[in-house]
Amino acid sequence: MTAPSAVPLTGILIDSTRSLTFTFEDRPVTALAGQSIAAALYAAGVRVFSRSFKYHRPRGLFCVSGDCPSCLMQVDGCPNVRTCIEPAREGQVVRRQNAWPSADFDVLRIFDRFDRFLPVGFYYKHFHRPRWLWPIFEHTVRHIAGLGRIDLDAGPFPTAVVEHLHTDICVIGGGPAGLAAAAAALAAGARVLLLERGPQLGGHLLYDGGRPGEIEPLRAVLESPRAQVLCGTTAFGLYEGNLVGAFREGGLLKVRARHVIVCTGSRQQPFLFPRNDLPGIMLGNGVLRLAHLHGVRAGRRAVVLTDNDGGARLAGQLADLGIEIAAVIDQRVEGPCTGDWPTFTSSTVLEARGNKRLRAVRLARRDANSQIIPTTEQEIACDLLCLVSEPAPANELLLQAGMRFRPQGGRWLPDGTVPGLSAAGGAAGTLGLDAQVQEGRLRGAEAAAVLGYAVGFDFRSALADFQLRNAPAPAGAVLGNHLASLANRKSFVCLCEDVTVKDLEQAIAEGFDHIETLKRYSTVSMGPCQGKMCSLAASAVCARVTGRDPAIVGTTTSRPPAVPVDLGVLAAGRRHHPVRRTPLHHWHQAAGARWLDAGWWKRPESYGDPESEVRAVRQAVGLIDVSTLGKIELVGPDAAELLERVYLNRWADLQPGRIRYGVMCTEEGILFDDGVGARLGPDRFYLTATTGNADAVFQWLELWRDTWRLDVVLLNQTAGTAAMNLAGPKSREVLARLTRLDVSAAAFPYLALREGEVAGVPCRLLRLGFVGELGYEIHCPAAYAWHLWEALVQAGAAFGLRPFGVEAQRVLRLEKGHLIIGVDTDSLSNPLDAGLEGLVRFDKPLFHGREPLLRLKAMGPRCRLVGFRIDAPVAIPAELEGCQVVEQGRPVGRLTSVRFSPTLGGCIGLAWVPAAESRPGTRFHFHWAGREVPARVVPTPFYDPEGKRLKC
Amino acid sequence: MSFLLTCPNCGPREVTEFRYGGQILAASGNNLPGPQRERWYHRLGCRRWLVAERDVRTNTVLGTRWLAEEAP
Repeated sequence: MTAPSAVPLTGILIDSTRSLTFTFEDRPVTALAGQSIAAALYAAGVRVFSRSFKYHRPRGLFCVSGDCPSCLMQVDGCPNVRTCIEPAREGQVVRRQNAWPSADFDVLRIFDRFDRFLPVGFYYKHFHRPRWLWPIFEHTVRHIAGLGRIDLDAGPFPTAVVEHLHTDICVIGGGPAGLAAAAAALAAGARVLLLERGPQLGGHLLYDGGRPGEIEPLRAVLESPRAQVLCGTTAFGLYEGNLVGAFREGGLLKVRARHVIVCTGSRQQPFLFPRNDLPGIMLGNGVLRLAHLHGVRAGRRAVVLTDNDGGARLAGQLADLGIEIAAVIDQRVEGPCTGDWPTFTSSTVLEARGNKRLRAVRLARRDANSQIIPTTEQEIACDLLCLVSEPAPANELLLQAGMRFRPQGGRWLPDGTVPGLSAAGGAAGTLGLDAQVQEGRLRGAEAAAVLGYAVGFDFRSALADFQLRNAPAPAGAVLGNHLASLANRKSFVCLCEDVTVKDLEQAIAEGFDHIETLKRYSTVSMGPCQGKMCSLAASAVCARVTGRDPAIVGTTTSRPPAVPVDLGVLAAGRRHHPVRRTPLHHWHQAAGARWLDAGWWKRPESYGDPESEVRAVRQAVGLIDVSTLGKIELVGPDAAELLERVYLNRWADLQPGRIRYGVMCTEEGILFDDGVGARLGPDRFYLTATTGNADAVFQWLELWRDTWRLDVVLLNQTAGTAAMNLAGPKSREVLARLTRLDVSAAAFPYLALREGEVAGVPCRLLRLGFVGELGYEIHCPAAYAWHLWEALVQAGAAFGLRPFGVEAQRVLRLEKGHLIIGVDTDSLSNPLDAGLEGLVRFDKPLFHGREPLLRLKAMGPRCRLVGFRIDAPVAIPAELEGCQVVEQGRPVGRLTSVRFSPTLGGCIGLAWVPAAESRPGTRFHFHWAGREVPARVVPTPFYDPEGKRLKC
Repeated sequence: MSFLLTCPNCGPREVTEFRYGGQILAASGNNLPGPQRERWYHRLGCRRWLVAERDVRTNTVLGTRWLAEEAP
């Protein structure tokens, strides 16, 4: 007989005519196009794929489906890549992780010898005394334990995008059941989205020797325009409202489906025996996937360990692949004896032997009481041990969505239903290709019928009939019987976290005997695989040790994500940060503006020298772009009534053409926003709101308009209207040059509104004094803003006009003692304490904040917002903002605004101080840079207290 | 939280398009498990306030209508 293992295999996913090269730890490795990184490495002779989390034990390729932690590597700087499903690419740089100096020779393996000193929960028990040792220990443990390291120099990584899809029925999994479900739903007329995580449809038919031809007709149905098929798409979460979270190359997918059918198949589970994690031990299906998908033979001489008929079948399949079968070890009393290899029934593996790779297995027979018969012990040389367990449903998504599973006849099967959700095939615990296809077809028809599509056959009785025929045998094998007597320090339940059977027994003995506390204490199922390889085994061990029914023990709660997801994918779409620019943005840019973010807006902070900008406004004239202000027009018979109810002050008595400052509170009496309002006519008002609150104020007005059903229309003119504030003693002269309006003090007094043309542009002019000088806020259509601004700048040139930015405005308004809501106030500030009591018209019967403010008024103020001066020299006053006001070392208040005032030649600010300490002249201290600095309360406004300059 | 709200103007939309505006106080008691009336604002849509009746135990939306048409 020729050596059949010399014949090359043809993998379904690979193109053997094209090869590529990547770098594996500084040496080149050749792969075939389409082959996974791990398969290429396996073909190149690599057997140690990673070092385990805690003991640094060598781990080899195990599941070949992306379900276990054994093949995680660093790929192009990205840690924890599942190399068994990640296609190799030209030029990739691949490294193993969690090992020093290398995964082949890892000195940290020493921990494996000291496992007695690292029992379950050791980090809760040791190193707490002496206390100073803890930080050192914690740092060391974090360094030694764990997965990959984030390479901060790697990247830049491509930005992930979010895609939203809507469909009638989302089928997750493109195996036989999923294809049948999709085809049946399509036949009934539904829209179907099919998500398949692998690169091709077909599921286990692609590798386990089924009948691939049978799915061809189903695949043809998917050509329908109502079908969308996405391969290479992994669903990781099934959320409320049938929202499916999935990722694929390039980004995140959010699918909203009216119905979800989960057809994610099943997966084999590891067996528990000493050293069951040695490289060379693989899931039987993993061996098949490696061969049929990637064209790589996993070994030359294999032993198969099984507890069902699948073992004998696998042995036949491996023999066909040219792998010599040394033995089939069947843990059952009776099993099929096929092929020309020995089959050992009632037997089990006592131990896997070998150092960094499997050399042999030691096995023995058990007697009727499950005890090992010592005389039957023997050793069989092999380089591959295939584990063929009864497949367990891949049901994480179903569990997340609330479907319950319970053990019935040795299998975990769905128990009960969830609206809008169903399962078919292996995920529902259904075994056998025919049954899986049939169930898929029936569930697809059922889902379509629930959504109102006409199904051409009686699927209900067919489904009932199906369930009857596929009910599990009442008395099956006891779940987990192979666990009986092989508790050992090296029998690994959880490959991710290095948790052994012994660890679980120890944890249960310490009282953590509930599956959820057992998980948290031992960390079983908390690793990257999220319990796919250990959840059922942990449950079975817990059931055996506690003597409880496995159905009572259950499994731990399944939560998203079901598979590891790159953080970059989850961050997709979060980078969207809108930027708003005023119509004058590019003028400011050209004038050398330094930018400031104000909400979403870009505003000029200054044009280089804020101090001289302040002087220009005080001595001549300045111009600032205030287009970011919220601008709202109210039209309707109830306009005044709405304002009366949401603002603290009165509006009903405001005369047309006049302006009033207004402040509004929340229902709790907390300061919300301020601005000015002008009356345009009997039932027409024009309001401004602060830049950051413009949207919130508009929504607030609409909310209460609708709640009270007031007859008023609200127009948000924030974006469509530009505004600029011309301020300074010379502003009247500048304005007079550009308009035919009478701007004399008598004809256009303080707090008046006029409408007219300025530089040929139709404008609203509001005579205001936020910065404390004679000034005009000019509002005009945004499209004319540039023209108007330039006209003002030109007309003002002869008067020394300077554009000024937000920083100069802050200083100017602070000199006037004006507070800024949100800067000088917070979510506890009320208008009484803030010195705005004069605005609160308690004689109004109804307004937001009336009741709480009445109570606060009765209680008297506890703190006050006051003006202060600092006489000590301060280098950068703005840095003092936020400093605590202290009294005998205890914080009693804080500084909210601090600036150097060029006008007053000193450092001034606003601060919250205790009411008892708020009289002008009182000295207080604030804490800054480790010392207490004195300041004194002074009356506000600091500048022009009588307001002569702005009213002139 | 991931459910759909049916805007009377725009139809069924993701809840993330809306801003929550608080429960409408009820005479029978507030902040209780079960259906409650709430204000929602269709921030990323037609920008109008609506009322949704939602079972806070299951996030099932039982119905929506304009706030201005809600019984006071």
